Amino acid sequence: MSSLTLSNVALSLGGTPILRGIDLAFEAGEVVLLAGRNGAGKTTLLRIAAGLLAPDSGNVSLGPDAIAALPRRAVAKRIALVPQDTAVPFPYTVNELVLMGRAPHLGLLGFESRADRRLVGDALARLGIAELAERSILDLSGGERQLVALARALAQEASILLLDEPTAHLDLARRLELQTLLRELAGEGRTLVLVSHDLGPAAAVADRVALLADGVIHAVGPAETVLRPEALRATFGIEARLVLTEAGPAILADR
Amino acid sequence: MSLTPGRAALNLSALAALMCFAAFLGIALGPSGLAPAEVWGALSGELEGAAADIVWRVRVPRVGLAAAVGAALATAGALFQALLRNPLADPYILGVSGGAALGGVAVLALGPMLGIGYAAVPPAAFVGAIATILGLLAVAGPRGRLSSTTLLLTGVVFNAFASAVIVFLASLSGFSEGASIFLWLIGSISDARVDVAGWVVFFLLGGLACALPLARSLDLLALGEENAAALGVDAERVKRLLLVAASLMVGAAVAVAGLVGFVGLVVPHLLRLVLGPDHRQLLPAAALGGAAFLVICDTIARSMPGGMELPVGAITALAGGPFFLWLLRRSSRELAL
Repeated sequence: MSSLTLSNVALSLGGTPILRGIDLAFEAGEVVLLAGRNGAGKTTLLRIAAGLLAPDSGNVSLGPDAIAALPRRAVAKRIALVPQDTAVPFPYTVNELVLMGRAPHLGLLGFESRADRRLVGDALARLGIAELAERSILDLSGGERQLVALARALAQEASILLLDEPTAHLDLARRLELQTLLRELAGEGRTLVLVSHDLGPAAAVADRVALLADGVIHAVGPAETVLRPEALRATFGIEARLVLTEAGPAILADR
Repeated sequence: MSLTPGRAALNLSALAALMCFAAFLGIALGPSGLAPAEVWGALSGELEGAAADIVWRVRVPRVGLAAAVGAALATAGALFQALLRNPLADPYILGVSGGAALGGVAVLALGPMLGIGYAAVPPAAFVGAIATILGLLAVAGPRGRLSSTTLLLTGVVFNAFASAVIVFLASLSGFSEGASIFLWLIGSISDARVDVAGWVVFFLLGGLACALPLARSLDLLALGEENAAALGVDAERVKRLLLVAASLMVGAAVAVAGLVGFVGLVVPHLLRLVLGPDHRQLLPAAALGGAAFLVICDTIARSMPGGMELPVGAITALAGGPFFLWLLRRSSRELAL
């Protein structure tokens, strides 16, 4: 059984159809790259997959259950969403913010236990930001904030991670480290859905690529079969091709 | 260091001790000063006579009212700042104060004409506050979603509208009514009556009972509604419930004390700076700190040389304004403004 399934999902926002019949199934242990133009509805699709937005029609199932029928906390224990950017108005420390990932596992009045704190420490170490633990989020750069959001998702211990452009603000070294980490997480049996515009590196991480255009999934499968010149032309309106280099796949534009 | 229950208990005990100290000072000081031994004797019931009368009939109700009003305003301030995700929010920002002021001023201005007494001011102000909350929910969230921007804009516009009507009412009224309107708008707790204080305490405790179990949800809401929802919070329901709870606290406080400014803005800010933003600690800390702050301000207000008494709202603004600017300058980064 797939861990997360979208069947015939459709949604209009303000009278404009955004998604028109999306069928996608995500399996445990795989990384799926969701690609498409700006405004194609990738983030909207992630929100629907996380159960945060109800589609006009169609279903989202989490394992055997309809996601709409599950309590929010039950969903939060199984799906973590890392949005593009989070503005925090108060000076929480990195440690405090990552501890918030434990909230779905605690009662209303619960304080985090030593085990929760250890999980947070592990998550920070895994993302290489242990030294930021006591810094205020307001003093961090965009890339560092992005790593904090990822650490929170790890501390959430969800089996499904929905990542909206997780590498957007990261430097080259961090990007490479994150690629390795994403593969590790998939190797541990987690499901990862990744939205990224950096198609080459993302394709290197992804088991499958789903190409979203005009509200439907244009193609889904391995990168080399999906990201073909015709598909890149039809989706992005560019002449380009996916090239396998020694260092991994890259998108080359033909001019 | 992130918050642990032990650390929170220690910090809150320290604030509770500060509040008790402020209350003791508030009971001892005033136009007729009492020795600490007299206050202690009267409080423990060992002492009778004039000193005990002053303590029990004058000072205790007044200190109690100041503490309840301060606690309600500071807690509501912390709640509004969290719900609107805006460190500049204060308890009056959504227009609840405007509605309450309108109710109160209407009685002050038109009361003498209609034969309604001063005692009708708090109920009228409270009705004004409730009407404003209901109006706000109807305007800002008709389709089930409360947008912070819409709430803020609605509040600002309503406050402006209420000010205009208040100016109109004040210009209609006579000189003595005008003076009492002016005093009430600045905020004063000289009218300390046990029955009135009881109402503020009732709404304060009710509000805290709603807010404290949801304190962690407020931390998650700071990440944005979508993130909070992704972490298991029913964001709409929490917002709606706490907006109403905070508004009722503000409504009750304004109804008895008028528009006491700065408590609800400065106290949560200061505590967040010292103790950190974790709402499981910040909310009870704001209640204790707000109580201590307003008791101290009220004690200063009635200890002016020559037996003169200032409205407490003037003291909070006099002390709070420069202090707030100093705070801003010192830590503009931490405050994220």
